[in-house]
Amino acid sequence: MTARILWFGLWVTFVGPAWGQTSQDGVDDLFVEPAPDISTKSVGKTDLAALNTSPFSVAGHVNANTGALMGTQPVGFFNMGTDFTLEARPDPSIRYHALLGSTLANLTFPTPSVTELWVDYTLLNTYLFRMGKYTLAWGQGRIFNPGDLMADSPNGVTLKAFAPVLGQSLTGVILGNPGIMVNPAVPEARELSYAGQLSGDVGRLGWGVAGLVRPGTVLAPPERNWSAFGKSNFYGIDFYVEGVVLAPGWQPTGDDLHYLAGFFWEGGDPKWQLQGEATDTRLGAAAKLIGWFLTPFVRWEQSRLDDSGTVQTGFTWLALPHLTLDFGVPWLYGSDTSEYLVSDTDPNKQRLGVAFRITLDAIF
Amino acid sequence: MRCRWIPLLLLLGSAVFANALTGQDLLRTIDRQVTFDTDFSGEYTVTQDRPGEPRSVQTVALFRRDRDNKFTMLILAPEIDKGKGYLKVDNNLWYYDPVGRRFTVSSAKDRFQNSNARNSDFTKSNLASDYRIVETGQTRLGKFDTTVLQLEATSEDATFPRSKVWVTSDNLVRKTEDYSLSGQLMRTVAIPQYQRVGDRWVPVMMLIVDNLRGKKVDGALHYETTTIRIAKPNLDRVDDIVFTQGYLEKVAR
Repeated sequence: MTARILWFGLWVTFVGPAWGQTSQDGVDDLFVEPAPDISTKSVGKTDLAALNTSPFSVAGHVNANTGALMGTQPVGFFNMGTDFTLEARPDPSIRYHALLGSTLANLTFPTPSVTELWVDYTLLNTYLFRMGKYTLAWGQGRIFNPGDLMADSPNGVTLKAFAPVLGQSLTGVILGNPGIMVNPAVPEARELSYAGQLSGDVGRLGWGVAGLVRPGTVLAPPERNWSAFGKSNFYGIDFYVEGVVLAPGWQPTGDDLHYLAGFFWEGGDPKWQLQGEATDTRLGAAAKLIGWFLTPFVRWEQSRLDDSGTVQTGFTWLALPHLTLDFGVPWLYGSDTSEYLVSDTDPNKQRLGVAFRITLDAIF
Repeated sequence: MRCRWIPLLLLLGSAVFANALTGQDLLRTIDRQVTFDTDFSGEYTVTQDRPGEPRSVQTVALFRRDRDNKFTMLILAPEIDKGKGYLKVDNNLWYYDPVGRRFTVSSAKDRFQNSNARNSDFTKSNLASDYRIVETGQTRLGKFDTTVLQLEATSEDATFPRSKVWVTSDNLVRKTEDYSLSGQLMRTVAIPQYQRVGDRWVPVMMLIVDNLRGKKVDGALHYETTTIRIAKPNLDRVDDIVFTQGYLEKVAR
């Protein structure tokens, strides 16, 4: 009995206050005189039509940056580009979009070129069509993307149709690249690419299959490309694998087979992004911290064919409104004729340097 | 002699088992109160208050199809965030950024737009599938007589490893305290008023106090808070296409 009283006394002293503890932040005050619960009839409604309509608008964007790569042969640079977006959604079924851009070249701005120009049409509020010039990306890769069967889309005109089918997503695409047509004014059926993708989810598994066929002509190389992917999330980490066939004919050889395996994780506060990928020809990994006053990063890529690669580390700092400072240390390794050295944009092919860039970026 | 204990043990065992069933049944009943058989849509105004900083307000359109475990969220305002959206299908949650035109895998546990709300605050309630009751008690919460349930996560999908919820007799959660595994209070949520829509309930207002993020102002500690107000609740059918990635791309500015 004495023990029970003693136990109760301890409970009252230590546990009781914790259990019935009132918040120190005034939360409990909300329950002193709360408004009574109410019954609401469905009087208002989120206007889906309003989400999909907007008057004709023009927006501008300018990006100017300057900096230098300090190494054995220091080199400076200055770039400036400006673009204008025209957009209109007169009713929920139609959307018009154009992006006109001009980039400084030889200290002059050439006539703006059409970077994007497309029209959306929604049929019966179910089927989406987009036709025009735009970039369409498939594939699961974030560092490398061998499964992007739409890699040619920025070079031509694309018609895309999308429909939900039994809870999954079905996309069909016809793509024409005028650069490989005998007479772009009169495209031949054999010069066009025909692609389809079916993707969806089953439980925790995201999946998709895609294919692209271009019959081919003298100018347009034939293509028979296929891909299949699966992805899932375990312990908050996104894992994905993708198998890819990039072949000119119906019977692929071993060299036509490719794969991608990778992971992506984003979490924490501030937020970390960690990712890693492996393909049949490359390895890569990256880490980045966002949501802090600095955005530090490190990124590594390596060729599995010649062991060349690059490591880039640095940070981005949004120093003032519209003004960003990038600081980095790029390191290239491998022989002079290796993949990463040859494809490096620095004309001096400096293997190690210190780079900085100041960017002015504004939308108006 | 030994046989005389068997009925007693059986009785004790069944009582324990019945108690466990009652606990999960209670959580299921709580879930059911705020889970819709039909589609649901509403406009959520998310107000973020950080001590010493200007208040920020976002308006979000939410579309839920609880029976298929789907929802779509579209940010309507401010203009700079317009077109960003979230799509949840089963356990997969994607975030669409119209600038990068890319879907990023997100988690229900993640903060919503760096506020004190979590993405899971916008989905249907999953207490029965994510938690078990480890302790119950009765207490008064202001004007309400409440049952207090100490919950422990049983699923990796649970947003917090431990929670303490105050439930009124109508099986509505009025207050929640979410804890880390080590017992650190991470946030407090208050739902002082509900609105009945059809035969289910949604909050009129939720106040979320982030007990991990605060700042001393004039010598006193003030926590960051997020207030969510829900307007235009509606049970009309939502088009299937709204719950697709294609729709987020279509709506994006």
